Parts: sequence; C-alpha cells; structure tokens
Amino acid sequence: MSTIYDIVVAGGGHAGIEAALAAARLGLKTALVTLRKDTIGKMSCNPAIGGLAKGHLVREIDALGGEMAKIIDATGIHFKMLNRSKGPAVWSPRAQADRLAYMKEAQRRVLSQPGLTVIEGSVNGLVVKQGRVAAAVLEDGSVIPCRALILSAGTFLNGRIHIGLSNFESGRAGEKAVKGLTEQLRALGFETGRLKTGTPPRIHRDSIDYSKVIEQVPDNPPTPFSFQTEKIDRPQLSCYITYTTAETHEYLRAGLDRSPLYTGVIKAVGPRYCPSIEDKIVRFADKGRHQIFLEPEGFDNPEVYVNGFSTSLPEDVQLAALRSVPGLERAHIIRLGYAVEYDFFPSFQLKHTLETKLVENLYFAGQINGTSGYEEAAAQGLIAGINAVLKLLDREPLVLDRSEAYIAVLIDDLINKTILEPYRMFTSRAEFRLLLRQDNADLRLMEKGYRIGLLPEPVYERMLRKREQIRELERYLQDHSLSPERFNPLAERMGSAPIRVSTPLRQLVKRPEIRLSDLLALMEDAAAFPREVVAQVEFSTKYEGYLKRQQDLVEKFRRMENRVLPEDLDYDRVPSLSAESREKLKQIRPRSLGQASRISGVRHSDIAVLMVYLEKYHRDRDYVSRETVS
Amino acid sequence: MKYIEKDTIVALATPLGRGAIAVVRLSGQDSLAIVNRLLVRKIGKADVRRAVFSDLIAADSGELIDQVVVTYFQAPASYTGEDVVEISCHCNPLIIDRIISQAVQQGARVAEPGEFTFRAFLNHKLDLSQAEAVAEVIDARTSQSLKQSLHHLEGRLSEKIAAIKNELLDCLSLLEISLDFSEEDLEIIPPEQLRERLTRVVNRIQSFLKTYAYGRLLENGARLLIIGKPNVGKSSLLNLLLGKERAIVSDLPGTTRDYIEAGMQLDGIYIQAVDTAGVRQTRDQVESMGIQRTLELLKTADVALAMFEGHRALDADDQEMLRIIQAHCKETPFVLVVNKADLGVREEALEPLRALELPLVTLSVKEERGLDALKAAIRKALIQEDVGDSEEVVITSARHRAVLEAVVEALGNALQSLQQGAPEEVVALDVRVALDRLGEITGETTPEDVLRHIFSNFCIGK
Ligand SMILES: Cc1cc2nc3c(=O)[nH]c(=O)nc-3n(C[C@H](O)[C@H](O)[C@H](O)COP(=O)(O)OP(=O)(O)OC[C@H]3O[C@@H](n4cnc5c(N)ncnc54)[C@H](O)[C@@H]3O)c2cc1C
Ligand SMILES: Nc1nc2c(ncn2[C@@H]2O[C@H](COP(=O)(O)OP(=O)(O)OP(=O)(O)O)[C@@H](O)[C@H]2O)c(=O)[nH]1
Ligand SMILES: [Mg+2]
Repeated sequence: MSTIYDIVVAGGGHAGIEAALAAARLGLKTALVTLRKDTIGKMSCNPAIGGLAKGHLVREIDALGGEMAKIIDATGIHFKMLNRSKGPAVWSPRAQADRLAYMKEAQRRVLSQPGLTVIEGSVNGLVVKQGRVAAAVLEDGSVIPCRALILSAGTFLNGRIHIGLSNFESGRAGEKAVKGLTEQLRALGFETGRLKTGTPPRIHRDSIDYSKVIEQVPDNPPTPFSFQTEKIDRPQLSCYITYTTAETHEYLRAGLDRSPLYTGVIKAVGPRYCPSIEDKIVRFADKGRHQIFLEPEGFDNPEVYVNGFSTSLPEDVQLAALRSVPGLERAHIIRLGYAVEYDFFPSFQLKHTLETKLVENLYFAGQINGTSGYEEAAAQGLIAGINAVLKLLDREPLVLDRSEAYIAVLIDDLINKTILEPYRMFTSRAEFRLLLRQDNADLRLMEKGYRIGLLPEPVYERMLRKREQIRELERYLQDHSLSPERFNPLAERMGSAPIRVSTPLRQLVKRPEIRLSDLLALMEDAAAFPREVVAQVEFSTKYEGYLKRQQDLVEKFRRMENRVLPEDLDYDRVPSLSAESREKLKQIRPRSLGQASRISGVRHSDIAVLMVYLEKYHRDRDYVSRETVS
Repeated sequence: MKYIEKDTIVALATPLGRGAIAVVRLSGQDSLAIVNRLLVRKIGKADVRRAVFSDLIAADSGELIDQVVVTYFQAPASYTGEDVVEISCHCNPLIIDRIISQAVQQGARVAEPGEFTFRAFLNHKLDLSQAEAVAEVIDARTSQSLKQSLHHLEGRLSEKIAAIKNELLDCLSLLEISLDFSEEDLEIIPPEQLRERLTRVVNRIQSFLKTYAYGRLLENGARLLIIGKPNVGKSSLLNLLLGKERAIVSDLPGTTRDYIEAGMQLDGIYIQAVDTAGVRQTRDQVESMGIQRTLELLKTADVALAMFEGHRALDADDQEMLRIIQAHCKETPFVLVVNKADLGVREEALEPLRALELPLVTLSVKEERGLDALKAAIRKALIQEDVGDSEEVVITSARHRAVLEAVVEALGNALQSLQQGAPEEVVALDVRVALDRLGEITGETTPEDVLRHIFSNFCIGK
C-alpha cells in the first residue's frame, strides 16, 4: 500500500502552487501531482502579474502568507504602479515577469518545500468513498490515497487548441490535454461547461523596428508586491506601444472566413474584456486603430508578447496582419497566437471554502472554476489549500466576507453569479472599494494569515507596529495645531485659503489641496512616520466622510449576512417564488438572505417573499417549541 | 404578519367618505363562494368581469343589507392574481361594516393593510412602482387623477426613470472605465463634461419633483374657501361653480349662518368648496364666533376667494375683510373676486383692492360672466409651479418623491466631489448611490450591469 497523503493537489499551475505550499507549510503531508515538473508555474499567457484589481489580489495573497508576490518580486523586469493619478483605493501594482525566471523561481520554491512531494503524472480519476474523496488515480493506473484533494487543472480538461480552422487536443501550446476526469466528475453529478480563451503571437525582439514604436519606461524605483520585500534591485526593461492600421484591419477581415470564432467552430464563450483582435475589428468596426503593447518576456528570452493581438486566425493572416503594424514590418513570429477551449465547473457547486458540495474533501481552484488570470487562480488556490487543512485539522474554516477582501468578492461572485464568460476581477466588482485598498491589505488580512499559521510572526508584528503608528499619527493630528504664521505660506503656495487662528492639523489635512507630509514638515516635534503610515492616515482623514459611509454600508451588509437561512429550508414550500429564483435558490442554497440577494436571477420581490417566509418559519418554530414546552 | 397565508381576505377598497359608492373587495380562492352566500342573484363563471345587480342579504336572517353591483374577476386575470370579487355598495359606514362582517362570518379574513397589493406583488402582478400606483388608483377621485395613475400603471414613470437610469449608468461606466480600464486606449471623459451630464440629470429629476405639488393636488384635491361680507354673493358663486343650487341665496344679509361644503371638479382637480358666513364688523358674540370660524377655515384652505361688490365703494365690513386678507395672504393664496359687475364697476371700489397686489377677477354671478377667468385664477393660485404638459409624468407618491430627492442629493455630492477634484472612485461612489436609490423605483443596477454596459459600448481588451 502506498503512502497516504493528507492532501493531494492536482495541477501545478498558479492555483496549485499556492494550495500545495500552504498545505505543506501548515504541516500536512502534501503531494503535488502535475503533468511536468518543468512547467510548474508556467505563465500560459501574458507574462505579467498584477494590474488593475488583480494587483489587489496579489497583495491580499501576500498578507495571508501566500507566495505569488514574492515570486514576482524576485523575477519582475518592468514594475509599474497603475492608476497613480487616481485615488489610493484604485492604485494597483503590476509587473512584467521574466517568464522563464518566474517559472524557475516558482519551481525552486515548490521543490524545496519540506513536507511537499512533487509527482509527475496526470490525475485522470478519483476514488470517492461514502461521498468523500479517498484517492487520486493517475493515468498510468497508480493510485495515490489521500484525505483531501484539490483540483487545479487550469485549461487542461478536454483542452482543444484552435489555430485557423485546424484544431487539436491540447491543454496549452505544446502540452497534452487531460481526458476522462471531466467525464468521471460528471458521472458523480457535477455540472460542467465550456469556456474559451486566447493568446497572441510571440515575436522575436530583434525583428522589431524600435524607431517606430513608443517606449514605456518602468517605475523607478519599482514598488514591490510583497509586504516582505524590502526593495527590488534587478535591472529593468522597457515596454513599447504601437498601433494597428487600416491595412491591418483589412488583412484580419479578409481572414475571417477562416476564423474558428466566426465560422462557428468554437462554440464556447470567451472573455469580453479580453477579446481577440478579430473580435475587436468586427465589433468596433469604426475604431480606426487598436493599441498594442510589446512586452519583453525576459533577458535571456528573445520572445516579445504582442499584447492586444490575441488571435486564432491562421498563420498567414497572423503574419500579414502583424507586419502591417508600424515597427513590426519585419516581425518574425516565434509562436503563433491561438485559442483554447476547455471544461470548467460552474461554481455554484462549491461552498465558500471551495470544497465541492457533492464530494466531501474535494476542492476546486483556479481556471476550472470559470476564472481567468494567474492572480484569480492563485487566490483560489490559497483559500482551497488553507481550508482543506483547516477542515482536516478540525479547525474553523477561513471564509472572508466581501467587506474584507477582493478574494472574498471573487469567491462570492463565482458562487452566486451565473458565469457566462471567464471571470476576472475589476475594482468595480467590490462594493466596498474604498476600504479594500492594496495599501491596507496587510492591515486587513495579516491577523488572519498569522492565526492560520502561514504568516511569519515577525511580519505580523511589523504590521501591528504599523497599526500602532497609524493610531499615534491620528492622535498627533488631533492634538497639534499650526499657527497662521507657520501655515499660511504653505497655504499660499498650494492655493489654499489662509487661516486666521491656530488650527488643528486634522482639520488642515482635510483640505484637498494640502498634503499631510507638507504639514508634518512644518512641525518641529513630529516624530518621523514611515511613508505608508502617513499615506494611510492622510487618506482616512481626507475621506473620513466617505469611509464612514462605506463602513455604515458594511454594517448593513453584515446584518443581511447574519440573517441566516435555515439549512433545512425547503424552497419548494416557499409560496410565490418565481420559478427561476426557486431553481437558483435550490441550486446554490445560500447561507444568508444577504447571499440570496446577490444570486443572479433572484429577484428583489423574491427576497421580500423569502423575508416573509422566514418570518413565518421562525414564528412556526417558536410556536412549536412553545407548545412542546407547555 | 399574516401575509403569507393563502386564505380569502376582505376589506374596503375605496377610502371612506368619498363619493356615493364604496367598493368592498374580496381576494382568494373562496371569494366567489363567500359572496354568493350573501347574494340573491348568484354569480357564475359566465359572469366574469360583468357588473351584476343584486340584493345583498344577511346569510343568517335573510335581511336585506343593500342593493349592490358585483363584479367577479377570475384568477389569474385579476388585480391580485387570485379570484377577486368586488362589491359596489352605498357609501355608508354602517352598510360597509355589515357587508364585511357578513363576509367574515362566511370565512373571509379582514385584510392586513396593503395586503391586496402585497398579494399582487407576490404573484408578480406588480413591480414596486406599480404597486404604489395602484394605491393611487384606489384613491383616485377624479378623472384626471385616474388618468395620472393609469400612466403609472402603464409604466410611464418607470419609463422616464429608466431613461435617467441609463444616463447615470453611462456616466458611471465612464468613471469606471477611467478606473478599471485606464490602461486601455480609450478617451477618458473630461470632468467638465461629466459635470454637465450629471447636472442635466439633476435638472431633469428636479423638473419631475416640481410636479409633486400638482401631483398631490390630483391625489388629495384642494380646499377652496369663499369669504366676504354678507350679501356679496358668496352662496350664489358656490352654486354657480357647482352648477346646482346647494346653498340658499337671498337678498337678506346673513343668510348663510354656518359654512357649507360641496365637492366639484375644476380642470380635473377635485375641489372641496366651502361657502362661509359673511364677515362683518360686529360686537355680537355669536357673529364674532362665526368670523372666528371663518379664520380657522382659512388655515386649512388651499385657496381663498375674497369677494367684494364692484358697484359701490368699500364699506367698513369690506375694510375688515382687507385686514383679514393682509394678515393671511402670506400663508394662503387669495383671489380677489369683484362681483355684481352687471351693476357697474367703480374705480373707488377697485382702487384699494388693486393695492393688495393679488390676483383680481371681476365677474357677475347673476349673468354668469367672468367664470372662466375665475377658474383660471384659481388654477394658477393652486399650481404655482408650471408643470407643463400634464401628459408628462406627474409624481404623486411620497415615496417616489423621497427616492428622487435622495437621488438628487447623491448626485449633488458627486458634483461637489468633482468640483473639489476628488478622485474618480469617490465620485463614482455617489453616482452608485444614486443608481441604487433609483433602483427602489425600477430594478437594481448590479456591478455586472455596469461591466456589461462598458463592454458593449467600449472596445476593451489589451
Ligand atoms: C491560451 C491561454 C490564454 C490565456 N489568456 C489569458 C488572458 O488573456 N488573460 C488572463 O487573465 N489569463 C489568461 N490565461 C489564463 C491564465 O494562464 C490562467 O488563468 C492561469 O494560469 C490559471 O491558473 P491555474 O492554476 O488554474 O491553471 P494553469 O496555470 O493552467 O495550470 C494548470 C496546471 O495543472 C497541470 N495539470 C492540469 N491537469 C492536470 C491533471 N489532471 N493532473 C496533473 N496535472 C494537471 C498542468 O500541467 C498545469 O501545470 C490564458 C491561458 C491560456 C492557456
Ligand atoms: N345684481 C347681482 N346680484 C347678485 C349677484 N350675485 C348675487 N347677487 C344677489 O345678491 C344677493 C345675495 O346673494 P347671496 O349669494 O345670498 O350672498 P351671500 O354672500 O351668500 O350672503 P350671506 O350668506 O348673507 O353672507 C342675492 O339677492 C343674489 O341674487 C350678481 O352678480 N349681480
Ligand atoms: Mg350666503
């Protein structure tokens, strides 16, 4: 009999890495089964981590004790804080990775992790005993017994790649697809669907005419992703911008009759926010040009990622169209763009811990849940990994709520919204956006990461110190004032109204045009506060009113979350629910009225009905219990 | 809350004390059976949606309670979506009470407040905005008011609000694009333009809000008071306005001793007209109590007609009137009415009245001259705001007004943030609030809706 693992993670992508590392670090005997050791942590698509809203996810992963931020900090070649001209709530870190270095760094971390065994192989089946997962079955027939299994197979389940009208089985360019697993899960009662995504061609960096493209330089100095990274001193590379031309659009249009998308060969739905170039010219025909980013994939790697040019058109069309773009006249394609169709599992089948409702101790994480993106995958991997451990150890599960983290918004949306296209994070999905900033992910989540046991104590203590300093600075602003003589020269420089009497700092910071750091510079006795501390206090003071309002909404939200729906609630007995709502409610079985109200397809009037029914339910309960007492 | 049960409910469906007819409504699967036990002429399936005359009797004693008109609406084609029976009876509280208690004896339950509407709502007969409009239909006492309410039912308000919602959705999308898609090659809306668009929305909503006073008027009607010294022709005017002899007219001053009320319509507005005892300088206790009474009535009036005679100069009693007008014209809109123009109009009479700078109409009740001008003046005094075309939406519900005011407030905050150069996510917050509030009238706007709007209108995607 072979070794019994506590946890088997199937799939060493971005989800699998986080899951496996978390499980092993929390002390459970863990195996990562993946197709090939040398593709662990491979970036299938754009070699970049973070970006708008995704950067938030990475910071949260880091605050909980995950890995992604550290890997990108070690391998990034072009860091940029996006949205710097907007408010701090929507600043988002992004970095281009050296693609190969990123993968190697991920592998180094995984392979050197004590308690984690990496097995090359393909998980093609499960053993389920009494509704509980008992083992993974590999393609070669070997069986790996386990107490919990986390499936993070990415785009590999029945993956099919399309280039022009030809298509073939494959999970990712040059890699085989996984067959049989979806079918077994379907037989167990799981519902599955099919999605599609695509990637652009890669071209050789020496085939670009750099005189015709616009250079984009990275931030200097780069801002690290991880709260644990002091600073980044790797050399950095530039990216370049160019645009498609009318000629490009001609070529693309002429190729549409050989497009798998437009000839109906691909039936699955792709993401609207990440359309192929052919989609863009068809849907927005009057747009004269489309922006293209040329992103280097690393120092030793000559490949350049043609961002904005995702396509599944045939090779000759890809080449002709590319070569009509200024700067790419002599472009040499190293790898073609393609589209991939794959199986996914609509997430209403999951609990908020990412455990499946059908099979105990079976968890789903990553792209197979209908998401897209490394960050979304990693976030789920971490949550699945942590919860698999907590459950085996009989500890309280980690379920974050929407007011605490983007990660929670992600999972809650996956469960409640009907997924029609690959899901990616946007800041506009977070109703408490002002509270969920990338700069306070540590304050929001480190406590949890530490209690779970993933975040090292010194890091946690640093956060506590930061929190203390924030309080100190807040007190300082309350207790200290500036006199007109000291303040007015600054006011004049900043175009702010002069003051006539000595005024508390707290009040002065509230002026939009006045910066806290400038005020502190005027104070002789002010202790030196770290920049992050000043930034936190400045924001919370300036936008106090708005933060207070968001906080009030959080209270309201929590009240709805606390109106728990009885586990034995029989939706067939609730009168007057619309048929669609009844179906959805039966399918998802929300934990609370709050969650019920977020389910797509559940109408507001149905929530009213549920409220009424709950009222009746509880009355009947009271009535019955009183009767039995007397 | 008894709302969830599916039993048969009964209640008075029209407000008490208005008009000659009251409607008692039953809803639920036993409605027809219950009512049939009370009717001499039984209702059958063939009578669906037909007005049927019958005697209504007490089930136990067989005693006649009233002669009624009964209409049966079969489920689901009824107001509540259930079987509904409506009984039109004489609007007498005693009769109404007896009918309801008979229905209850036969197994109906007295409805909770709003329960009919709630059932209609549960059966998806109504959206929130329509549920509200129905209450207004029940309340509607005049043709115009009914027309208004039907507009609501046809989703007219929903339609207007939908247009506003769409514009706000567009503005929010533009803000969100600048936050979530700032890396894209998209034109970012200049703050100035956003401000203009939001301001336009605010103005539009405010123009709706302005119709509220008029809407309330259509809803509640108005109280019109006729005052003046004895014998100027107050009672004559009341009769003329009513088109019937309601008040006694004589050439003896002091004919009307107490006030007289009567309902009438004016351009679709329901008006409760009140004719009062004449005002005169007096030491007589009883008389001065009458004046006191008139002053009390003045407080509840939406408009007051102050009557004078034009063919002779003002006397001491008229002077007393002038003092009353001056003391109250701040709270109550007045229209000065100079009567008996058939006897001539003298400048000495008009002079002091013109000095009051109030609307003034000269007429002759006797010859029925000047009535149109008077009606126009009354209408103008009641509706200060120009509400434009009454085919447009008029807001009659206090809830709708509250929602729209909240929207205006949220947008005001957004505009202020824009003004102060606050970051987009802060501005967006208030635009969101505005959309959420609007959602209380029509449907809600989810983040998914915003993204959908963005993806279908802008070329997104690197
Ligand atoms: C062509 C393409 C285009 C993409 N385009 C975009 C895009 O435009 N935007 C975007 O945000 N994201 C895009 N992505 C998605 C991004 O790459 C994924 O979201 C992310 O990598 C998902 O992480 P994951 O861990 O779920 O799966 P993956 O990174 O796909 O990792 C899956 C891993 O599991 C292994 N594996 C699979 N099945 C088994 C099995 N049964 N047994 C053992 N091992 C298994 C595989 O070898 C692989 O290592 C694209 C991906 C592809 C392939
Ligand atoms: N010539 C003329 N007589 C009028 C006119 N209007 C009313 N009268 C007469 O004036 C007299 C008084 O009319 P009423 O309507 O009773 O007057 P009133 O103001 O109600 O009087 P009190 O109830 O006593 O206060 C009657 O004889 C009417 O016929 C008018 O326009 N022209
Ligand atoms: Mg009279």
